[in-house]
Amino acid sequence: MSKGFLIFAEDAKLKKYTRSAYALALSIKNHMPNADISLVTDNKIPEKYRLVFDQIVPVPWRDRNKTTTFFKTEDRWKLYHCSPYDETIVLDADMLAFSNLDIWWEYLKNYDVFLTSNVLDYRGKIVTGRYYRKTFDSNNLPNFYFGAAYFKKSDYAKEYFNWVEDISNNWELFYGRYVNVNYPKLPSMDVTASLAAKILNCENLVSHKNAPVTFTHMKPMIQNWESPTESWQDSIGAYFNKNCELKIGNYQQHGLFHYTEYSFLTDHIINQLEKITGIS
Amino acid sequence: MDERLEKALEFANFMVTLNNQKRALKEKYHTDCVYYQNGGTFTITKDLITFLKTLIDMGNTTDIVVIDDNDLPVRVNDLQQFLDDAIDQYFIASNSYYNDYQLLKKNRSVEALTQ
Amino acid sequence: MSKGVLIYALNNEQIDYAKLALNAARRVKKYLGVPVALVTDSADWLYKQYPNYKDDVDMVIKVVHQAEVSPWTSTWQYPVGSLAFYNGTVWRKVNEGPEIVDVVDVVDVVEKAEIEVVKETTYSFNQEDFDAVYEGIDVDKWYPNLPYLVGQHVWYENTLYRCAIQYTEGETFSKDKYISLIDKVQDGDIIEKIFKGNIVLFNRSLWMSKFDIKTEIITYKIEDFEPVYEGIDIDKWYPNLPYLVGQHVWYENTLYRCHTEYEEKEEFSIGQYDIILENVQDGDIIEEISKGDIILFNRTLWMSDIAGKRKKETVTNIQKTYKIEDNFTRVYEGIDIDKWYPKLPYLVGQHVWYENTLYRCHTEYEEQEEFSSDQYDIVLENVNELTQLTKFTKGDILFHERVLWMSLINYDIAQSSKDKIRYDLWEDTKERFLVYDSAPQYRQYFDGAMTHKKLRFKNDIRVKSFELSPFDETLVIDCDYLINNDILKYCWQQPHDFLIHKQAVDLSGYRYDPRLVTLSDKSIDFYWATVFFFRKNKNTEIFFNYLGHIQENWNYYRYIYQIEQGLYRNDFAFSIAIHVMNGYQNGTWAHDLPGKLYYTIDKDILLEHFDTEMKFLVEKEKYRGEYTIMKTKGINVHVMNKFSISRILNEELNV
Repeated sequence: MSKGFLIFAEDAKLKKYTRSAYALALSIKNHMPNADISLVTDNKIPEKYRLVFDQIVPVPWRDRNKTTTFFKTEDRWKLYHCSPYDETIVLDADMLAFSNLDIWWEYLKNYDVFLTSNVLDYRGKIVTGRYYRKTFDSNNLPNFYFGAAYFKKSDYAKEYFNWVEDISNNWELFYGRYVNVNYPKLPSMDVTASLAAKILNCENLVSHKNAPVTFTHMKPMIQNWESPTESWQDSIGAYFNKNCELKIGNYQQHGLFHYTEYSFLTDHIINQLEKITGIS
Repeated sequence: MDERLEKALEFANFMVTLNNQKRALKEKYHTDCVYYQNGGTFTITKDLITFLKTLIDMGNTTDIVVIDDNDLPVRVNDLQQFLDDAIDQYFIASNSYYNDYQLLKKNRSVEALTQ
Repeated sequence: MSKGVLIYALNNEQIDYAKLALNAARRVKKYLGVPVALVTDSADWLYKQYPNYKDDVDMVIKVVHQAEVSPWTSTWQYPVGSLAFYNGTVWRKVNEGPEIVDVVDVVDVVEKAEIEVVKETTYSFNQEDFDAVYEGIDVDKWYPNLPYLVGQHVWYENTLYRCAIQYTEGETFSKDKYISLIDKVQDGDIIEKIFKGNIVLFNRSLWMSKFDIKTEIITYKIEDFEPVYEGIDIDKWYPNLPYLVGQHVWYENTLYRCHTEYEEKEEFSIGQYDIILENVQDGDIIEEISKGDIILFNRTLWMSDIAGKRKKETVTNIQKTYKIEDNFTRVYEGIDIDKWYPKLPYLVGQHVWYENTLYRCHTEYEEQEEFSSDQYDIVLENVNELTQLTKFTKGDILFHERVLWMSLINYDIAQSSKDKIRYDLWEDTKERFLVYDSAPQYRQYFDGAMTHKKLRFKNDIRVKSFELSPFDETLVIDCDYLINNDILKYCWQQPHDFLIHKQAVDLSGYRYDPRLVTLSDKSIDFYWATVFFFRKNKNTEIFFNYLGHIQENWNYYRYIYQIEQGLYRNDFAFSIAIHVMNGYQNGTWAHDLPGKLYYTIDKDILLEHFDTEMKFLVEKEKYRGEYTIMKTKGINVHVMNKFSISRILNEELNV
């Protein structure tokens, strides 16, 4: 069975998420040189990006006349269908890998679909703050994150993603009925994925609280700070060295790091990653 | 000062002291309920006792690995002895808690609470 | 593995920490039943005020500003009552006697077993190792009796100068005529050691070193040299000895071969020899060796293929020295005894010593290769040769210098070595000391909510716990940590090497200080250094060494970990060190101590402490100066209000 990482990235005016995806792929290659990584995008990308991606997959079934959301939530359900792998780990583009993630495959092979349920702060502690999860708490949604998700091509996963498709394409209807307290102004993949799991009553089958599959989620309000700022980079220093190791404040980072703020990814980081992987 | 107010304040004082003492007793009880074995830390709970009893009933009595409070694996050579010790400790801790708590209930003044 | 408790008691102006520490020690003995060592900078006060301190404390470790006791040495004559520092503790001399059993007359120095040659490589200036700096200026080395011009650049004693006045130099450097430009400019012609960034003068230009450069010292042993003329044994020439045909003899740097058997007199009989080789150096005394030198060493010739100097510290065995007159008495006086040798004539009545037995020859004969025991009567057995012994007892009969002696002493070289103290003369006081000066720090000490004093705060010495502790497994406690149960006994029964509390319970129930959870808002987890346990091994040694580094560089670490307070605190330092030992993340290098850490702050007051029960006045929430009463039983509590502990102890002592 083929397996690989899938990253969805669409460039916005000032934020080139394909660049973020490229950096993520480099960081994965740094720890897992034989990993298969594909990029789902309709953007034109520099030639050198093709050195890290096995495949560049165009976004299927795009309706050019339809208005799109910033995070392209309306396209993410398609990842199941356009993934070239039998087993796929989907990652958000604004992430970096700081460890070998091979152990995830061992764990995830027991699932058809898997969603992260616990994320970490930069100190490595499980996030307990609910600042960004009011919608979930108010509407009794399971606490899932689509930032790092997994699916295996199977009937079960297909059914699950059919529901994700329906909810994505009719989000106002579904949210209005099932997520009407603290109603989100825009569709969110986390909310959609959690709602689909709730509707299918499969919360325990698509996640586990003790799973090794997790990531550091750098949202400022959930770092357990007394006085957070709007941007986490204003509160704490980030140190990226020539060995491509990252320290946030006094903490060495491991596993998957979701930096969330585009400005974090500097040319210096990309240059270092290119150097260490020998890809440029 | 108005007598009613004085009485209310006195009662408030008493309640604070009473709650503090209750908390102190509870802390002591929780401390007494921790059993240390082979580098592991085990809080003696109903769950733990039931789990150990089940293992023994299933015939597992020697060289069993039990996971402690800190999620560390601890090898227990004699599970029956482990259970007996845990139950002994549970009884000592809870009897002591009970006795001290009864004394607390009887007292109606701050002085009596801390005698 | 030895186990015990270490308690720190460093006094300030108003708090008698010695008293607190003795109380803490007493409770340790009662509930944990292990030895206690006390670290104090007021030992004299302790001895004077608490003469029965030994009931509670097994060892006192003094912290002093400078060494009061010198290290023990065998070369000094100590009177009874002297103190000396030996093997980590202070010893007192209790019996009269010399430091080593000393003999003047006979010194038996074992011949050096090897020769070592040290070669120092020299570094020749290599432009590739340097970058040119201050280009455009030519620099002259200073010499006396030369004219110097205005603006001329001159190098003198590692400093670059520019001449300010034209003049003609005398014998000494006229510094007043120069402007000093750059110091620490090394002479590039004789580089021994340079570090990256150092400036060097070479070939009238200045250069900056790109790397660290140093000359190497390489040591060669005699075995590294090539043996030459193998197969011949060479004797050094001595007067008044017989020499045989074919015997090779070395005399005054020349190798000879004897061609006629003869008995030598006082002078070397050169006519009896053929010269074989000249310029053969004596390996026993040669100081400087050149490449190609032929050396006589250990009766063999060697050729050196390097140039170098003889290593000064060659191996010598311990000198065994005996004072014949004081420690031995002549026995069997009137007889002279010869050691047996083969191929010599022996006469009737001659006394001969052979293999620890004294014989008397009864028949005149010419000895062969083997000892002819049938020609002798045994006179005395078990007669050891004195200089070959490392141990003998009083009454032993020993052979030395052709006579017999009876020993008046027990002797053991292990006891009598110049490196070992005589346990029969000295007593271990079990006292250690450490030269240490606490950094001058002050802080507020509260005695209840309404009173406080600013007093000296000495806590930085705790980083020395590994070095100070006399135990293999040590529990360190504050002197205000009052023990009321035996739960900490478990420390010595569990397998982890370092235990400490990460969480603590404030007995007030309402106070919350986030700085007791993390060092600062964005920083690492807080660990309580009030009580901790460690087992001595490499890991914990690294930890404590690193702690020392943190303490020495506190200002740096304080900023790195965003600690607002400037005051050095052990809790902070321990937290940082544990974080680093965990690899800059949360981890399990440090495990939890058994039980919980309960505490009251110094704004609370300890009212009573009887057996395991303690009564407190706990500061009331939102009512400064008012208290709630609280009682605890059977739990260990860190009572930060030391004044209140002191008052209770005073009451107990009726002070």
